[in-house]
Amino acid sequence: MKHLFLKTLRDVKTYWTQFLGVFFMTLISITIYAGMAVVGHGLDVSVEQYVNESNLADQWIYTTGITEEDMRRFENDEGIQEATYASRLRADVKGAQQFLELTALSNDTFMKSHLVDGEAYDPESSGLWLDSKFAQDNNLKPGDALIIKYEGFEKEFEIKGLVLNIEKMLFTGSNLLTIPDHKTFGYAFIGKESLNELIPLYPYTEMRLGNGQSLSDDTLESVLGDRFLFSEMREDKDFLEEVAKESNQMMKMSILFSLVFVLLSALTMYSSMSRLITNQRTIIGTMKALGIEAWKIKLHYGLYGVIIATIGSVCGLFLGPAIVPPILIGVKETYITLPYWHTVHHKSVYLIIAGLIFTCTFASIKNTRYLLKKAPAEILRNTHNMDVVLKKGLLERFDVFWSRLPNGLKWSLRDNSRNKVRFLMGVVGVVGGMVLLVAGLGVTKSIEHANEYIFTEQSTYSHISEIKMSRHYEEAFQDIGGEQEFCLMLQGTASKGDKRRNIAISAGENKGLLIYKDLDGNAINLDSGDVLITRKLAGQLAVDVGDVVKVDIKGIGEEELKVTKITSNISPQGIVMAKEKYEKYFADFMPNLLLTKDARLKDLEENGLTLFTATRDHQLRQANILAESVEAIMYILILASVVLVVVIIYTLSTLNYIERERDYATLRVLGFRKHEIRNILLNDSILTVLLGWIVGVFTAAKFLDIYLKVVSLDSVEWVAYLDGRILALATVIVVGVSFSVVFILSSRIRKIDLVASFKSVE
Amino acid sequence: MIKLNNVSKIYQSGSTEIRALDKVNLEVKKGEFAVVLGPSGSGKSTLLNLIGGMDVVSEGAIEIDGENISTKSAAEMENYRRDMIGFVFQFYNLIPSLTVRENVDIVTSLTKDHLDVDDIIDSVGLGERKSLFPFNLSGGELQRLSIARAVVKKPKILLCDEPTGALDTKTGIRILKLLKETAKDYGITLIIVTHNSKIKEIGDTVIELKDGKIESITENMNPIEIEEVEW
Repeated sequence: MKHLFLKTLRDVKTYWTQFLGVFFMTLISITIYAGMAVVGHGLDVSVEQYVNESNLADQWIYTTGITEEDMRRFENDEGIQEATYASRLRADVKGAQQFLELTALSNDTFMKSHLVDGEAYDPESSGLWLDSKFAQDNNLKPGDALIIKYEGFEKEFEIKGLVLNIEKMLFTGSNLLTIPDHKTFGYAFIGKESLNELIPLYPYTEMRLGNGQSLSDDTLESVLGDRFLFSEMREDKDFLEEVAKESNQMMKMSILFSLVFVLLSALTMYSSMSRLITNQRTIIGTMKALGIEAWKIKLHYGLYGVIIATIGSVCGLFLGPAIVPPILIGVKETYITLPYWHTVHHKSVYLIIAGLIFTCTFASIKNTRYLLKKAPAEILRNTHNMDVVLKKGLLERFDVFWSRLPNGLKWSLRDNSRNKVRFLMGVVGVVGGMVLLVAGLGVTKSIEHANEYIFTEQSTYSHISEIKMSRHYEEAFQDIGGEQEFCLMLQGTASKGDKRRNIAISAGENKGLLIYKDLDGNAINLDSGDVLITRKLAGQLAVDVGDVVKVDIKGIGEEELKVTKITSNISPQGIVMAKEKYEKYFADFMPNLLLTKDARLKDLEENGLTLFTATRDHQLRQANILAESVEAIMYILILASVVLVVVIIYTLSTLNYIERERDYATLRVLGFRKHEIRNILLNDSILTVLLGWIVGVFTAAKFLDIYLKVVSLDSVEWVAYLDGRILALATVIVVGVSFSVVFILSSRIRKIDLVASFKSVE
Repeated sequence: MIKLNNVSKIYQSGSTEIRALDKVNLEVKKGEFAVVLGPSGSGKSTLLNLIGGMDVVSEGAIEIDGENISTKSAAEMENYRRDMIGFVFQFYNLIPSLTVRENVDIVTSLTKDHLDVDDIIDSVGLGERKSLFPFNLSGGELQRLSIARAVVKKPKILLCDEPTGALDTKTGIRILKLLKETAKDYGITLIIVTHNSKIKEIGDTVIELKDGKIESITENMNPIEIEEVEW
């Protein structure tokens, strides 16, 4: 057994070129999967740690004001031992076009911030604890002073510390922004005393409960009366749900893509290992003839699979977390702000490694076992696949056609029919290559296309402004000129039966600055009685025109609405209704968005109700930056796909070549020139590539469609967008790789040892 | 005419030098049937490989019809093999995925001046088996096919390496007869390498090798017919 083990190691060293393909396939699969999974799983672990560090609340209660009496009643009547009361408002930084979300806390028991620099938060202090990202972009540090303005009041604060807060993980400062603008928007914490020095008598409006304490809505209403708006439990909090979705999306992206990687690699490895063993048949026959026990021979060849797959997997396990996270986390950090982002292996990676090792080992043992069933003389006779009786294929039945084919092509066709598994593996390699590349390139293109669609087809405004909600909105903006369309965009949920989704609810006018399209792409004229539902949401809730949906708007109320039309608009996903409908069912129409075109910008920005204005181009740029985070993942996958395609096609072609080397040598002895044999190799390759390409294009289109459905977030419907350039690029890569491999292998033809072709099979 | 002048083939195995052929001199006339005899390791296959242009000499020169092939480039050697040489292998080396006819036909693409494929298949007695694959043929039939493939391109020299080595005696006799007749019919110089000393009685020239050296070259003034050989 010692000698067999030594032989295993020496075989790996001797036949390293044949083992290299298997090694690379395991390496790439595990590198990509482990690399992406450590980021996704690491995000979960980091957030969990952040949650614990922050002593995050279990319940959030929103009100229009909490009095000292309320606080006493909560403590005495409802048994609330600890609560964090907060006031929150949007203030300006004096002397700059900068905005701070200012939060005054009674204590930070259930809203602890992560201290980046300076002193720990003290609610009794007169200082300010500033968002460290805002401070970083504006060169502010502890000890510096900031003058905060709020509706005519102003106060100078000393920055006591720089912090990051878990509730601000996805903070952008404005609903118009999809990624943070740390230069303009930030947040800060102060004590209640300080707030009252800035604005006298400003009440607490929020309450956080933790450590297992919570209050029912009925209790809250009984204490607060009309001042109670709504309450949320931790599992309903947007920032946690969004980050969980982000990690989920990342895991889905890596799992789905890696699954193709792993399946493709496993199939190719199975084929490679089988053929490696078959190429060892003479040695296996000799060992059997010498009387070595079958189990020892099987163990010996089983170790082939174990050694190679283990080396590849272990290398991938270290390489993945070393190269993928720096790229991925860097991009994700553009919109997720965390004090730390750990990289932690997900346990599924070990299952995948076990699967790959099993595949290789199983293939080795199975083929060894198959050979060992035969008598030694039969094994040594080397009639592998010669005993497959060739039947006339479909093409051969058309003699007129078949007889005109060159012999080289007939050879390839029959050879492939005799070695169906080998041929199929080649086809699978090409199909896999097309699927990975088309999907990789297609996802990025589809997202870019979706952004273009949202900001060109769905909207025609030039500027969009976040405005303070007011009943007198029309009068307030009547002097700014141009086209105007007011819109109210709120968060809530839509449900039907047991299906429920967080959605955006829009109510507005139908003045053409926002366009809703039906399923045929025609513009919908939003009537006063209309309730539109976006296509993706309709699918998720299994809703059709005429069905009733329960819509719950946070802090406003819940109503059942009958869907009148389905819109193909891709973002935001939700319910759209005319302002008249909103007023009929929910509340007075007080818009929070103003869309304008050709308006006087200066008047718009200086209007007292305007909070922030962005251009449509700016929104598109931001959406594209956000899309880059997905694209970064895709670029990693595309790169890995190209490498995998090269490895798979090279490995399969090399093994094909090795199996036929004796035939090629014979042809060389008979007088065939190098280019004539290369043409035979090309015939083989063309057959494989052609079939693989045809199957690949259709499979890739379907895979892209499924992939986008799986990875897209609830708020947007990404529709598969495939154009000729993507197909052409994927084709050029796959076909290019295939034919390049032929040319590389054809260089071996010159080096064939012609003398060897005279020797017997031993 | 084939002429070898002081031909040596030296292999290097680590620090050891192995002389597979050592200063060999011989001549085989055009259209002659030469038998190369010798035990295993005597250098007979090496000799065949050098004449067939599959290997290069370490020392000396090989002349074919007065032309020195030892100095030819790889591409020229390719043309030499293509135009001048036909091979018959001990283990046939046929292409399993091609039928009998296609195995012969594939070689015709090498030259315009070739024999008719069907005629040569008929002449080796496989006329009825043209559409079969090699797997369906017996050992003797495989070697017949191998001969047909070698001869179809009208080579000047037909080199056979142990052509009967994998066959039973009866089939071997038939194959030798076929080789001799085919070579005679088409005016081909025939060289057969074998370790079977019985065959020497049928050759025009018998070259005996031992340890890489010529032990004897015998002109057989009265070669006997194959059927007359006592096996």
